[in-house]
Amino acid sequence: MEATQVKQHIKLMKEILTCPICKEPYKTAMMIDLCSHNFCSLCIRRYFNIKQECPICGQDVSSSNLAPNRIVDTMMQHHNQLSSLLQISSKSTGENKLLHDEADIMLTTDTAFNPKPANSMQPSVVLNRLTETDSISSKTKQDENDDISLQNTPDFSLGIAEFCTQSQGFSLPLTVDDKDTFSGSCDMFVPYTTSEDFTKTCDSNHEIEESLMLAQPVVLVKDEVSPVVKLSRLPENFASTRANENQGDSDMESVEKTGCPVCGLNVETENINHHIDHCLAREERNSSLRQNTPKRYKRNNPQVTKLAYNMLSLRGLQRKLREIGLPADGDKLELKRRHQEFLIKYQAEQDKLQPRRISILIEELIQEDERRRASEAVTSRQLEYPCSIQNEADRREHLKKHEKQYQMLEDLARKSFPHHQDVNMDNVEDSGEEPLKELTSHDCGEGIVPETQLIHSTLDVEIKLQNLPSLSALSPELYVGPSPSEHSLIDNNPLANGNEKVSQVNQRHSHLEKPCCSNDTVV
Amino acid sequence: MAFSQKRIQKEILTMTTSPPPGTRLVTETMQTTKEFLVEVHGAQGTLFAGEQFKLLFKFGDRYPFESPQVMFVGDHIPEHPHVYSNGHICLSILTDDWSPALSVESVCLSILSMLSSCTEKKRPPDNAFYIRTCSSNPKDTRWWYHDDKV
Repeated sequence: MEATQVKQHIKLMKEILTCPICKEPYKTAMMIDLCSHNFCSLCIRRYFNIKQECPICGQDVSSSNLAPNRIVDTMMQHHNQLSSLLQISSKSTGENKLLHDEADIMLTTDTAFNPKPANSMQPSVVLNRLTETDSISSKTKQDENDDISLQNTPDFSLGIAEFCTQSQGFSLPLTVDDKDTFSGSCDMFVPYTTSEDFTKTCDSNHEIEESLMLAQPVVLVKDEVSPVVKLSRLPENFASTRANENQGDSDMESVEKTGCPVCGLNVETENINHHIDHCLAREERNSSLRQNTPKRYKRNNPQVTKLAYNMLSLRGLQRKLREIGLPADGDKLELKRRHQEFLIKYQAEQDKLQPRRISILIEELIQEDERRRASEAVTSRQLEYPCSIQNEADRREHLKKHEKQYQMLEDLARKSFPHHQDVNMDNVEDSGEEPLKELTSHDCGEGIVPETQLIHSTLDVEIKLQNLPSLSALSPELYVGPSPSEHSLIDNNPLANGNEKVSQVNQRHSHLEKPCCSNDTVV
Repeated sequence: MAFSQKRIQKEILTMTTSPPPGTRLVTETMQTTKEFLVEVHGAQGTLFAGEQFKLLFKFGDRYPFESPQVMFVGDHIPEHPHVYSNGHICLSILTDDWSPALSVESVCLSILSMLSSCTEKKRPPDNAFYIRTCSSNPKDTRWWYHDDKV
C-alpha cells in the first residue's frame, strides 16, 4: 500500500516538475517574477520571441522578468534520483530492502545521473546531506558544495585527463571557477585543481595544454578572465609554483624566483609581472563579490545582444553573424532566424549553472540548421505528392458535378466532327493542298491561327446551312457567332480535328484542365 | 520540427492513456502525428447529449508556439451558435488566445464545455455567407469574439 502511495506522490511530483510548454521535465527552470510561473529557459525564451506574455496567465512580461529558479532544478535532480531509486527497489524484492540499500543506490543513481567520475561522488553526497541538515539556504550553498565536491575529489585530475579527450567535457573545469562562490575562494581553489596529479598530467600530456588553449574562447563569454583560463596560458609555470609550494624546492632550484607582493608566493622572476596582474585581478574579483548584484547579468557579452533586424542591411547582419562565428550564408530572413535562434540558445545557456562554451553552441546550431534543411527538403518533396492527390480528388469531384455539361460538349464535338471532315474532304476536292495546311496548323497548335480561323468561319457557315438545328439550338454561339475567343477554343480543341483517339485523349486533358479554372472561380 | 513532434507524441500518449471525459482519440485512422481525429461525445444533460462529433486537429511545425488547426469534420456537425456548418469553430483559444501551455486535451475540454453551455441549437447568423467565402483553413479567418458567456 505504502509503495503505491509513494509512487503516486512521485508521479504527482513529476507532473508538477513538468514544463507547461514542452511537457517535459524542467531544463534550467526560469521563473517569471511577476506571476511566479516556471518554464524551461529555452521554451520560454522561444515563446517570448513570438509573444511577450506569460503562457499560463497572460501577464505582460518580457525576458527581463525571468530569473533562474534553481530550487526547481535541484528538486528535479532529487526527484530523478528518487524515481530511479524506486524503480530499482521495485525490481528488487521489496520495500524493506529499499531501506537497507538506500545509501548504495543513492550513490549509484548519482553517478548515473551526473557525468562526473565515479570516485568524486561520495563527497558531493555527503556535502549535500550536510547542507540539508544544517538547513543552509539551498540555492547557492548547494552549488558551492557541488563545486567543492568536484574539486575535493582526489582523482579529479584523472577526471580532467578524461575530459580532455572529449571535446565537450572540458567546459567543466573552465566553468567551475565561474561561480560567484569560487571566485572568492580562489586561493583555496588553486591547490585543488593544480594538485600533484594535475601537474604530472600537464607535463606528460601536451594535449591537455592544447585543449586548454583551445578552450580560451570562453573568455569571450565573460568579461572577467577566470583563473583557470589564465592557468591555460601558462599551465606549467602555474603548476610549478603550486608544486613548489606544496613540495618545497625539489626540482626547480635552478630557476630564479621572486616573492609576489600580493599573495606572497614564490614565482619565477620572468613571470612575476604576469602573476601580479592576476593576483590584483583576483583582488578585484574578491571585492566585487561583496556586492550583492548577481554575476550573471554582468557577464553578458556585448556582442551577443538583440538586434534591430529591420534597421540592419543584409551586409550588416552578415557582419554581426560573422563576429559571433556563425555562418553568414542565406538571405536576410534566414540570417535573422539564425541570429534569433542563436540568441535564444545563448541566453538559455547563460541561465544554466554551468554554461557551455559558445563554440559548442555554434556547432550545435549549425548541425540543427543542416538537419532542418534536410527535413525541409524531404517534406517539400513529400508535400508535392499529397497536393497533386488532393487536386486529383478535386478534379474527380468536379467531373462528377459537371458530368452532364461535359457530356453535352463532347457530344456536340462528336456530332460536329463528321461534317467537319466532310467539309475538309470537299476542300480537298476543291483546292488540293488546303486541308493539309489545316491539319498541320492543328498539329502545331497556335501558330497559324488566322488561316484556321478563316477555314472555320467558312465551316461555320456551311454547318449552319447544312441543317443542324438541334446543335445550334443547344449552343448557338459556338456555331453561329464566331467571336475570336470561341474560335480559338474550337481551334485549340482538336476534337474538331476528327481523330477519335485524339479526341478521347484531349477530352481527358480538358477534364484535367477545366476543374482548375473552375476551382479558381469558386475560390 | 523535432520539438513539435516530441510534444505532439506526448499529447497523443496522454490522449490515449487518460483522455478527458467524453473524448476519444481516433487511433484507427491515424496516419501521421501531424493530424488526427478526436471523437467528442455530447455531455449528458445538455442539448447535445447522445450525439457524437469528430474534431480534426492539424499541427504545424511551430506547434506549440502556434495554435493547431481545429475544426469539426464528418457528416454530423453540431448545430451551435459558434460552429459554422462547414465545421469551423469560433473559439478564441484556437487563434488569438492560444498559448503554448494549452494542449489537445485543454482544447477538447473547452470545445466540450462550449457545446455543453449551449442553450439553443442554431447556426451562427452569418453562416450562409461565411461558408461561401471562407478559406478551408479556419486559422485564415479573422475571428471576432463577442460572446464572453461561453
